[in-house]
Amino acid sequence: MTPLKDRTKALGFGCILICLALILSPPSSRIAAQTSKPRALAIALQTAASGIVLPQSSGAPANNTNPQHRISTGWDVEMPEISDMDSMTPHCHKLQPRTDICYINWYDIAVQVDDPLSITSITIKIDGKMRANYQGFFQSNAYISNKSNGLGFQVSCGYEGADGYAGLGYRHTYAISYVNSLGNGELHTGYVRCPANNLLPVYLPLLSKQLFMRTISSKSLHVSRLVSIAGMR
Amino acid sequence: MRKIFFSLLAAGLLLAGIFGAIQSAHGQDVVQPEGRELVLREVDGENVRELWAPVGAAVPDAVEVLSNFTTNTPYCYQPDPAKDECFINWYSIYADSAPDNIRTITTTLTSKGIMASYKGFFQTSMYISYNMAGQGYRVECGALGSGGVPTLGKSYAWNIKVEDATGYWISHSGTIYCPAYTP
Repeated sequence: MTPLKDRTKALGFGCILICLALILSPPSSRIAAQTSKPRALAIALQTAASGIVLPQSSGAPANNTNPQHRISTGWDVEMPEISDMDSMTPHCHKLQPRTDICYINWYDIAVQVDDPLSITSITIKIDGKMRANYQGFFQSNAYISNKSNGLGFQVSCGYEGADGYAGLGYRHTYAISYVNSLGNGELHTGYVRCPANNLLPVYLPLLSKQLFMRTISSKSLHVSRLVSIAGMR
Repeated sequence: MRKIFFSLLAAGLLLAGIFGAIQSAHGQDVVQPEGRELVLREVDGENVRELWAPVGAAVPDAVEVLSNFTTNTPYCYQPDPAKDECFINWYSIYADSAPDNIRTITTTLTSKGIMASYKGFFQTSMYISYNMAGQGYRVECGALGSGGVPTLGKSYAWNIKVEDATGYWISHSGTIYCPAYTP
């Protein structure tokens, strides 16, 4: 046998061994290896967003296709079977046409903890910024109606297609968390897309490229400003 | 000699004035209502609820009386993040003084004074919903950490007091923290 044939034979044998090892290794370990880093990062980001300290062995569901997450924090078990907090129907609406003012709200938010625990606080963050703080007063349940925050939490609607969806504007992320008297809690995260502000299509022909770029880089678009720009042209 | 005497006298008067001011400020924490005595006081962190009764009055089941007045979910929110403007409100306030009538319920923000006064009209219970105060009571959000919590803005001490026709008072007090204004 020539040395070339020996080398070919050894290479073929090596390939067969690697293939066998890949086939026989448990699939779960391969998936874990692929998802452990993104999952850890997601939990860390969500924790940072809520300000809650998560246990290291948190059993948060890692569902990359679903933008909404629910994480329970500080409990001995990985995830309670029954959730303590409901945050129903996050939505974004534009109350006046041709404005860049939208409002994010929820149909309702309800928290119920078992006696003798009490609610310490419920907080709402939008785009990483704290927008509301609700505190408990000797109470084990709290209900927050959509009307209790006035019109809702004001955000910028954004220009059409800002997030890649026709008719819709910016996507805003939110995090709702509650903490009970033991320091445990729950975190709900997700996002809502707002209706587009419908300002640009009307005035586009009147804007130069420079002005257009400057305008879309600004998040606060107002009819009056655009009208004045159009008037300048 | 006379100069030293006058200097010492002036310093003494100044010190007396300063200590007098400190004493009166300290006394504002616990106001002793005239003609009433504290029957029951419960504390949970910064939340305090108290039952005051007329001096010498027969005290019924104080715990039950105290539980007939509930204040739910004080909150502070910032509708527009571009403005240093927050709103404080309570989700609900409920008092039941049956069989006696309710005289008044007052809501107070310590730094702003009395914000609302509700009068009973031949009624033994009263329910005050968040929407009775419109958007809520407008306050400054304040800078990050200005209220003592690093992640929040200014803090506001509040008090809600209910008085029934027999002279009993129930007082609820706490501190609400607003989101910070971060332009």
